[in-house]
Amino acid sequence: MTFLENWAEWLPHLLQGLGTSLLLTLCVAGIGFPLGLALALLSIAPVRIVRVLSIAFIEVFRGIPLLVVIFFAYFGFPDIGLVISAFATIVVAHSLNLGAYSSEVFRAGILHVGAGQREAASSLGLTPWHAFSRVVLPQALRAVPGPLMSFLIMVFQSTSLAFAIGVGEMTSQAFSIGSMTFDYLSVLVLAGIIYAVLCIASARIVARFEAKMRA
Amino acid sequence: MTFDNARILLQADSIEKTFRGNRVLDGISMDVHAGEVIALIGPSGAGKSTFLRCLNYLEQPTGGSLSLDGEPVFADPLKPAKSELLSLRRRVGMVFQTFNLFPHLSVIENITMAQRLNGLRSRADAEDYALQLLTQVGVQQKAKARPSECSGGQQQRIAIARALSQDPELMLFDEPTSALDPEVGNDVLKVMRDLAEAGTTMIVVTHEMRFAERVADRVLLLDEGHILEEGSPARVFRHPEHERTSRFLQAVLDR
Repeated sequence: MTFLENWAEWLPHLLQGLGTSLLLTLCVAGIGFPLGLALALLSIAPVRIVRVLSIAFIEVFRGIPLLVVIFFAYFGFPDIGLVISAFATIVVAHSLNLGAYSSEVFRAGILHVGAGQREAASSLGLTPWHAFSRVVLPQALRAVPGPLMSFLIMVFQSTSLAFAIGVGEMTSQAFSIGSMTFDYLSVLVLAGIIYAVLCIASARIVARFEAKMRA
Repeated sequence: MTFDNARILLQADSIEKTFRGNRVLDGISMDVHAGEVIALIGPSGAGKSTFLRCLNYLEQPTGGSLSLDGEPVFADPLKPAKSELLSLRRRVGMVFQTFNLFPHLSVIENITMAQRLNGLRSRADAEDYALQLLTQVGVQQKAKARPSECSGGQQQRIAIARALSQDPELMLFDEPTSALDPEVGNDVLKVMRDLAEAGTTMIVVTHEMRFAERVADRVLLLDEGHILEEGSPARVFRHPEHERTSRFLQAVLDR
């Protein structure tokens, strides 16, 4: 059973990469979700030009594959004098992608709050800002945790794309082990198992959470 | 009781509303005296709710003007300023058919929120007043509960307390019992009767003819966007001037 011995030897390296993957996920979520909420708010703003620009931004970053955005940032940022680490580049590119996608979830949550709630807030003489921040937004945010957690799982999986610009997350760790041992398949199977175990477990937690929210 | 000598609190002058070329309100004028209870009745589609919603500008009229206490509410009724809207809505309370309580807040927070945000009372005073209002409408035991843990009748009484928390000079009720079973609807009507007896100025869109007859000082029957019949309950219900009024009353009383 030599492959088990190999796995035991590789596991610490992969787990180290996993740490980077999780850190990336955390950073991307920390920037991407607030960006998504901001984009959702802008996309329903009363000023038309603001709406148009934010919707255009959302469509563009939903339309371009994440890997292309990553390369664009990686090669483009230095051209405009922005020199940041590969890690930071991934965080920026991935956050733009996540912001664009998650804005739809926030938007749906906001639009889901009924007209009666807005009217009740208006009829009490609340300012439009108070009506939004105290009545509409809190209710909108109660509808989003489930979908956002699903996004988080997808973000975690997509951190493997960081391999393309040499950030040492789990997939690139697997590759460097593969390049030394020429046993790519075996190490990728191990990495795949780690990804799958984490994602399946998280998905189950999300499903349970969503069932609880519905109850 | 007559209000001929009472102060005119609200004056609606030729209120019009057109939705996409469809004339829903055809220039309705009405004076409401302080302490008066007015029942708005009429067939569905007559424009009762639309008219009521024009009185606090949840619906912006396409013509006509409003005055409160003899002062115009808006410098330009077709271009209401934000401050004018806020001031109108803080002086006029509204109760909706579907309650529209805020589900993410507790019952007492539903009642304290606007008091605090509008700078009417401090947190402690707002809570004291909210409890007092909840006692008045008989739902004080639910203060800490969520609206979803209250029955429909309780929710509507809480909604009344919420509207009263702004110390409105005038209360609007938009079919407050239509979404309720008759027996719980009676609890709501009882609260409204108490308010009327305490001298609250009220305009009530309702299908409860018994309530209109017993509690209202004046009944307005709307039909096709204008006032068809107007007068004391006794006159409108027993001696209507128009054939259409008799037919409408016959139809609702037969139900």
